[in-house]
Amino acid sequence: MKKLIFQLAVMLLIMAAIWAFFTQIDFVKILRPQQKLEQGEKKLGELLLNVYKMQSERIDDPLNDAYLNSILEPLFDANDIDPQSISIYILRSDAVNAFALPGRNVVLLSGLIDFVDGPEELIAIIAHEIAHLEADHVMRKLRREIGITALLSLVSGNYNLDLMREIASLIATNSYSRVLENEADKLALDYMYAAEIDPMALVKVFMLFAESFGSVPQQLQWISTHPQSVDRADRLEMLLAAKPSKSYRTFDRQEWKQFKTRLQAFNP
Amino acid sequence: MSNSLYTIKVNEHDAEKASNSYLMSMVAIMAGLGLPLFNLIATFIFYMANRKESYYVRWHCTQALLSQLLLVLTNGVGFAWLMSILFGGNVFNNHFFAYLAMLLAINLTEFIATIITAIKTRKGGHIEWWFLGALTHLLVQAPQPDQEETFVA
Repeated sequence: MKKLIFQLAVMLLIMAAIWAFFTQIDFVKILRPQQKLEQGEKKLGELLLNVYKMQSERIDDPLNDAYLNSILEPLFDANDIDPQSISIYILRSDAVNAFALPGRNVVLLSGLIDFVDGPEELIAIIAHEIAHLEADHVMRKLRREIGITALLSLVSGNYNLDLMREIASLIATNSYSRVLENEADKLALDYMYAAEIDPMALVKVFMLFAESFGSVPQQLQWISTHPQSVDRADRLEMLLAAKPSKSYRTFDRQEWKQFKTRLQAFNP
Repeated sequence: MSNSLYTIKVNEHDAEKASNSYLMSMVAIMAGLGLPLFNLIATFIFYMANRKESYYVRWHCTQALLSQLLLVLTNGVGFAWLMSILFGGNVFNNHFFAYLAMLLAINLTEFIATIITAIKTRKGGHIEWWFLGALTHLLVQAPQPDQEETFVA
């Protein structure tokens, strides 16, 4: 028995030594796995975005983009998020929905912007989608639901339009797991709190969706992809109550109205 | 590996069986089943089929099975680590790649050792692997001195 334990100990020591030896090699620098993953995600994001653009017209208005950038600037600044790394697209659709895409893209449907009451609520939704991106929820969901092999074949150019449509639909209409949604909720709340943007706006969004659900269920896609709204609003209120109170910045309502008017009137 | 513990009287039939126990993992690889789990299943089936054979055969079937079990465990850790990166919150880092490199070294060593042991046992020789040999002695009941099979130190 002593011999057995001795040999086991020596074997484990040798394995540890080999492992320690190999850790001296900077594999991450040589193989650059993160950069390769990001490139693949970016390509997948572009492919999916093209599918959405085929289905819905993009509202590409520099004035609207400038407005979005201005209201999101505090959020990015306060949370050390590079605004250049995130692309936000507005697509014309009656559906009330927003979703994050691989490659750090966020898609807002114009129906959602029409639906929310103010810029804080729009920021809250965008913050929630950015939280999904920052926590790598989008790719984790795709890897789980589509599979790594399928994703690799997609980014290597081996794909068909039907499959891309299927994935696009999966992203737009399927919810994340409850754990991931809670994580994104909490992150979004923290982002807003740090940026001095009233985090209650996120609570209001969930309440607004919960109240409106049933009146226009076909169009309220965001609620179907973000279930248990009342529970989540309650949870967020509890999280917020635990934070020290502070004053929050205000946003110009006139600019918000102009933004919405420009969206409705946009004609390429 | 050690081959100096016993002088064993081994007949042709036993030598072939013992050698085949090591070859089972090779057969699984050659059949295109490169996953260690299939090698483990193959050696386990062979072990079950030969557990009533002579001490020499049982001993080597057990050592072959344990070697595959060790591989499955070490490779399983690497697989679980990879899954935690792809589906969990972990990221690729040097520790992970170092572990993969270590796995490659272990698998390669095991592969070479398996070939050498299969050749040696086919000739009636006896090779005990480090740690696994001692563990096999613990698990496989040695025959009584009055039994037909004898071991000469």
